[in-house]
Amino acid sequence: MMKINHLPAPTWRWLKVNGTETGYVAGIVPGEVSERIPEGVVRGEGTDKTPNGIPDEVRTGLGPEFDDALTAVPSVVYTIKPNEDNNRKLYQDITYTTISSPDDKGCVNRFAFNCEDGANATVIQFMTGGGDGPVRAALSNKYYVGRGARLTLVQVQNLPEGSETYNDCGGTCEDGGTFRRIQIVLGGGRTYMGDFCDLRGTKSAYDCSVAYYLQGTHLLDMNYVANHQGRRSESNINISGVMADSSSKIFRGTIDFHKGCARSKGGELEDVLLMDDGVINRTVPLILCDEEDVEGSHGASIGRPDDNLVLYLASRALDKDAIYHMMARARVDRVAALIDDEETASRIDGILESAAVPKEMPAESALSLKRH
Amino acid sequence: MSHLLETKDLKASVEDKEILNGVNLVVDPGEVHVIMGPNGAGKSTLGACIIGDPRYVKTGGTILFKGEDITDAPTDEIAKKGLFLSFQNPVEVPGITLGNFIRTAIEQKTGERIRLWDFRKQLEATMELLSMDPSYADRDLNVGFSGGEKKKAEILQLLMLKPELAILDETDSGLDVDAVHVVSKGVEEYKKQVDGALIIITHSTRILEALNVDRTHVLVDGCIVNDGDATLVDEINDQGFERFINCEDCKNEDCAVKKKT
Repeated sequence: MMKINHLPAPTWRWLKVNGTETGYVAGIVPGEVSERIPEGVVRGEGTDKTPNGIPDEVRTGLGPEFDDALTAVPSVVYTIKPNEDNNRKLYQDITYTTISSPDDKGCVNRFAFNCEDGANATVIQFMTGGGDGPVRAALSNKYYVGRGARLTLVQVQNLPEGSETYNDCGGTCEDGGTFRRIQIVLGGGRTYMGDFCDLRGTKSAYDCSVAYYLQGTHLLDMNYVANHQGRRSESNINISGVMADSSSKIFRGTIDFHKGCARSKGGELEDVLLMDDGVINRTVPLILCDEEDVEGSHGASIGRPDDNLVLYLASRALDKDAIYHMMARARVDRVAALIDDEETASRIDGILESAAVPKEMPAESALSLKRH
Repeated sequence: MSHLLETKDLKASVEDKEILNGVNLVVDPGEVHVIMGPNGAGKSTLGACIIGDPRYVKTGGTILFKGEDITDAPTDEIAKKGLFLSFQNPVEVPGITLGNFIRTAIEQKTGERIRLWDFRKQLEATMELLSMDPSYADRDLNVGFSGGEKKKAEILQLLMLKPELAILDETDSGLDVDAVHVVSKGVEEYKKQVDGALIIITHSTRILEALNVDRTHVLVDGCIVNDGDATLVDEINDQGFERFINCEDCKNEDCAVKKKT
């Protein structure tokens, strides 16, 4: 069994939240990638764990066992050079092949982004399935954010029902470097994801926003770590989502203040709306502190929609499904609004629109109207 | 022919406290009914029971809408059939814009997609009628709205959703003169455009000035103790509810309160 998503400091074992065990065996076939690379971004390839420009021993959210398992697939390395365009976007559409049997190992993709000193870029990744059937997808993104550089990784995960997804991430920010992560999880099946951001530079920053909505028997297992080493480093981890039916979710969020990271600040905020009695929601906020002069905070808003709110929405002819979609959409929209890209925003909008087609209406007519 | 709305001996309670004691009310298409009564008489409860608020337990009687029994129907189904309740205190819904909310509500009610362009045009025209800043369409529903803007947003929904029967629960309360004027204009427009029926729960008469009231009902202790035409509104304005609270002066021989005493 492979151990993934382990907390940096374990808590009571009986809570069964220290980490997750999975029977995942990595494949060797990459998912199909269609991409648009802007000027000043150079594409290369590396086969080992330390691709060009990415420092050794990059830690990731899912952890070393998962990271080691992927090494058979070469990592595609993008070197982002500084230039005057602060609005460069690298678009990647990753399409995963439908699995033919439960033993099918699925597809693996590995990327590394070396954002050189002073460079600025946004990477936008859409993860989709090649058909309606389930996929088994593994994706690893590693990053190195140089001095005064800024890298934004936008991920939209829209995989077919019953899929199994491993979405890993990890990297380092140097002095004044900022890594932003915007992640939207729509649909899927069993999803394991995480990030380990090593804030080793002074005034380095990590800003992570995740929105999800889970229904049916969806599982979402997350592990996000902001590893503060540099002085005056800052982190924000915001997770928001809606859970319905008998879906389950575990969120592990760690802010780790190491000795020497004086005057650093870290905050994590979770907002979960529980629509049904059958959901299983677990949250493990963790603030580790080895330095005195720091500020760490955790806030959570976990609950059901207020009775007055439900009545109000229902009095306008919205049934439970419509209320669920609307509340979920509000959360996704809030995170999607952070994406400074019209094309991506309208793509997300299209996905959400098609997910909210009124039941009485055939999907075909909805699509034909949408084209107007 | 069946009535648009008919409550027969409707009784309801909340937390074992009986609030409605047998309300009989008949509303026909296009009629304007006013329900008046002292505080705590059960006026809002009546509106909430008709729209299917699950927090009130219906302990007796029936509610028929267009001849169909909706006594135990869920709120969203009642709304789909053409009933609308304007809330006394509309809730704030962060993250959902007023425009998107109304569009979704129309699509849910009709089961049909509405073209964004057509919808926006209609919404903007209606907002103009209500002197609403069009930017409110892109603001989160009722979040940070003033009391007056919240009530205007309710009337905006009424005009966009075009129900056959609207219950306005103290829509004019807490509004300044100008806001009442705008809200009244909206209600008048609803009558013009849809010719729908109205049940207006109110303490004041300002909202009624531009409307032709068909029936006025006085609710006391969860029971309609008197009915009359529009002149009853003026009578109450002059004399208050005192004579209705005193059971001896009440003309309603079937009143459950009187029977109890």
